[in-house]
Amino acid sequence: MKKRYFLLLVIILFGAFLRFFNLKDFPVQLNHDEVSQIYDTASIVTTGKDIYGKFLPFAFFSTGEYKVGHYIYISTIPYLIFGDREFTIRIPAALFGTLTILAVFLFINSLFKNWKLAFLSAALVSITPSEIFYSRKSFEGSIGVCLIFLGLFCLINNLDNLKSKVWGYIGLSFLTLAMYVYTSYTMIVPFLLLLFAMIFRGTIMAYPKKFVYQLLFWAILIIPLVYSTITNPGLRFRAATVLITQDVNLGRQLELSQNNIKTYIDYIFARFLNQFNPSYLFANGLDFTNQGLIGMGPLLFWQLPLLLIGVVFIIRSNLSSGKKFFIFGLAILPMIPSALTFEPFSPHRAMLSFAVMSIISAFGLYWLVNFVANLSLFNRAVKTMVFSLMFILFILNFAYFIYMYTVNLPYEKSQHIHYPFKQIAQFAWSQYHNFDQIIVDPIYGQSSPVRAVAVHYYLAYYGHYLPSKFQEDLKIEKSGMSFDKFSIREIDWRQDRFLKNTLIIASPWNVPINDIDKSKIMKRFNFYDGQLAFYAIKL
Amino acid sequence: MVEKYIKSHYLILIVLALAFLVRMIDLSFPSFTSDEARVAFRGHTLATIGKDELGRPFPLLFNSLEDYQLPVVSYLVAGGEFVFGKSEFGARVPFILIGTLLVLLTYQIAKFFSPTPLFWLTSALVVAFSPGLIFLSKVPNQAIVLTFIFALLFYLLINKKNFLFVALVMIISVLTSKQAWFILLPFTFFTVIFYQKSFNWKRKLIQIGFSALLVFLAFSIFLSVPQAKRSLLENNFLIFSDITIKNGIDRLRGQGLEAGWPALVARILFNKLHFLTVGFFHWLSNISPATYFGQLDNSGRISYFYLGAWAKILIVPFSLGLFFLIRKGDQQKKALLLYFLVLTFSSFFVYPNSNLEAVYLTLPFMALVISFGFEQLNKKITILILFLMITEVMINIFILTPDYRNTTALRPIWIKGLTRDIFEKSKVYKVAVSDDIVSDIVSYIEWYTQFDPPAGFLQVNSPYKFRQYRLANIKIVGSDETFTTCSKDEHMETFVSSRDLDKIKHQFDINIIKTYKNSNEEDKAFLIEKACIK
Repeated sequence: MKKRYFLLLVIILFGAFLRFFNLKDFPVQLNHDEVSQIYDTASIVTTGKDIYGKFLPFAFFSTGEYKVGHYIYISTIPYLIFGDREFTIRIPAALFGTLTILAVFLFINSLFKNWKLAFLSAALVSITPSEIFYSRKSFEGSIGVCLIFLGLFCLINNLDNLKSKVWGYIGLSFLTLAMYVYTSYTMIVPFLLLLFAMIFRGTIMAYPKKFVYQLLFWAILIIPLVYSTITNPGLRFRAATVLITQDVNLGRQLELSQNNIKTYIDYIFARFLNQFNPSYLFANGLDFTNQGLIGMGPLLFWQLPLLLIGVVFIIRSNLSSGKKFFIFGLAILPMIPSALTFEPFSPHRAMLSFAVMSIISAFGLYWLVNFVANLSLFNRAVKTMVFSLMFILFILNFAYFIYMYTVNLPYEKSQHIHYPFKQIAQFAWSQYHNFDQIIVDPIYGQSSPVRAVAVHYYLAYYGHYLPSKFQEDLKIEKSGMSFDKFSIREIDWRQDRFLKNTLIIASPWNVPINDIDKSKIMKRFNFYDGQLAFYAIKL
Repeated sequence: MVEKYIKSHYLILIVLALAFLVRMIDLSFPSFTSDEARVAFRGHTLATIGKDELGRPFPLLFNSLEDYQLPVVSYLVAGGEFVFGKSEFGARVPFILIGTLLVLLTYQIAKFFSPTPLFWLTSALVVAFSPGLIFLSKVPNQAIVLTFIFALLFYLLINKKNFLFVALVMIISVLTSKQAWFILLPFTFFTVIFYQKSFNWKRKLIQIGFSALLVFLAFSIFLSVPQAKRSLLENNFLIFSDITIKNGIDRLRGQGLEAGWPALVARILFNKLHFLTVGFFHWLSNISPATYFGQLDNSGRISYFYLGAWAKILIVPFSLGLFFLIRKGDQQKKALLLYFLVLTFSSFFVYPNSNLEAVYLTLPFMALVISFGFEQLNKKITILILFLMITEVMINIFILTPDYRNTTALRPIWIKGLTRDIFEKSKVYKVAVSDDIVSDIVSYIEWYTQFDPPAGFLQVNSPYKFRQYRLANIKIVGSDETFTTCSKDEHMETFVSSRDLDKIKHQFDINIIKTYKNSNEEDKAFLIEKACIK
């Protein structure tokens, strides 16, 4: 028993290492979500309001997309403990990402009553690229995954300990929390509960009173969520902006179609099935690079054969068909939100599915290890060689992931992580006393111009601007935003070139280099790969 | 009672009749691509004067815009048009028949895997109502022929038929598509190993050896053709000429070096093995669930716009069939699953292009898996699923406007009127036609009009990626041509695209006599006067 716990501890510590090590430097810079979250956290802690002055909002207007605020509220705890540091905002995700390892162990152990399987599942989840990647950025989905596994663990225990009244209510509380934390899980959890109820209907129907009470408890818990979802215009706006209705390809198909309902069904069904494309799952689903199929999937390539073996193993095993369907359902259902949103692939909305696929690949590993170990014709040396080969392949694949994550991702996706806005903000503040006004152009891009949405957050956060003052000073105008000496708006070089005692930070998209007196360029800011992103021009 | 009827083959006759009728509905759909129109016209010239569209007597290798074409499809079309004349029906009927016979073939193959007549019938029925197979059964193409041939080969091999039949089918396969050259040997090997257990080794070796010999001969003979290497590299081994993989490896490795990682590590992690992983994932992508049950080809080239290879609801019996095979299937039944890999592995080499034609080869085998799934369901649910399947397919077959609109450039049905006008004018005057109205308008003019084949003959032997720019009185005008106003003794009828119309408008005043709209009601071509080619 002690050995089991020791092994589990080792795995959790290893998972924690992968999630917490050098959290400050990787990802290389706070992206627009993170910088808005850390500054809103600071704002909530110090004033109880977001930067727009709204008191304890349910959804934060943030950079214009109405973020569900629970991650920010959770982050107030590490903020109070660790203070105003960049990595503070990443701590909740990393912590819950680590706890997910434990939650997976508990869930699998309670469902299948096999600690080795549970241990391998936890081990593979601890090294799954999608789990590590999303646990190292301030992403509420990581918290939701952990809560869902904990919730399911409790519900299984609820079935196993029918006399106990606690497990069911705790489990439903965890699952409801997951619904509050992340919108995708708001949609998924009811499906999971339905699946759970269908599969274990025999036990549930035997104790109808108990489960009706629990159902009522859950219904009460979700009333505020349902109410706010219906009445909060911010949440409705956010839902509308990410829905599949915004998909341009669907729009094109609707134009051609005579029957919108049929088109929606056809399109969403195809989109849903496409989430199971092997290239997406194992080659480039995490979108680390711009090099086609040379990239990184949510799962390691090494897991592909294990996943296939795992599927076969589960189907062929003597497990009850209910448990088989449950585990496959857990892998399939969480892809639904990804299929209903405007992007062809939304790996962040499908984290739970990837985690379950990792668990299924652990089944494959479990079978493979047993199979090789029990082969009588293999002598010990051969078996050692087989296991060594598997280990070497894993190490190579994992090193490949680490390399991609630490090296290639910032080079290839510099624009997506809003690099180099931190440097711009720091430089702008260093010049604060030398100019009457400082204008930052939000238009930038590596291959085409895009609008950065969190420039005001970068300037405020890296200028250590007091949130209370920021709430008062921030002005939102038609042309852009401004506070103190700073303006965030598009540059019109034909007019702005005549400004006096002004620092302009703009990209070549709006200020062509040939139009600038070179002596006026104070500094150049490059994307991570060295491509010119902005220049600072003194006028 | 039902089984009695099935056994007496009444129901399969009904299924065959339904399959034929479904393929006959709206015969003009899908309208032809330029390549299909070329093959249709070629069939006419072969059937009537024994020459192809360029005037070569009974060739074995034909040309197209993309690649060389092997002979079987063209001669099948010739057969159809020999009997039924130069008509849509004549060009399409061989493929409609092949598509219908594929249903019967699947029915026969199913008998090998199950003694249950209902299993045979559901296998046949799902093939009869496969949207992908219906679509390809209506146009001249290699994929449906090759699908039929490999299903037939499988049937002959598992039923231990006379080797002469087997050899004949193998020969036809290598004369149908280059795809067969990749698949034939592993397919034969695999089938012989798994399904001919009672055969002696000599017979097995003869079959495998013969398929190997055919593949060897096919490649050897083909390589003696001018530009054959280029054809293989550009169409069948594209992955090796695709520069993006090499660039990607170098770029990602270089970033590591710049970041201070040891060169050895960068080389171990990023090297030419990525060609294998890229090809591998590309291959798997081609046979992903979305291809089969989602949208197979939203360009409308080889499938209905909105549909996969099967109706959506069939994912239920397919999943159950998969479960059944993994859990309870014997070795021969399980081996069916490996045909997905054996028949599609050539997709590995064609990155970044899709190779959806290969997906079709797997459909008869997949039909069996689906039927195993039906065996796990009770009859009421089976009937319900079949009803939903037929309903979905029929809705798509009858509502074709979105397909016409989606394929207005690729399969331009509206081009018929334009080609007839071009042809009529060319009887009297010189005619100029912009080359970007549609892709390769020459094929359409030849096919949709009463154009006299010898007037289009050219003295060329084995042109690769060939495009014809002159057809009797008709000149096809590229973007580099210059227009002038016609002199008094000149007369030219000019059919121009928006590209050339804009160009001419900048030079001189013109009158637009007639405008031609595509299926989306957009102006695509204009008949103008007073414009001549310089």
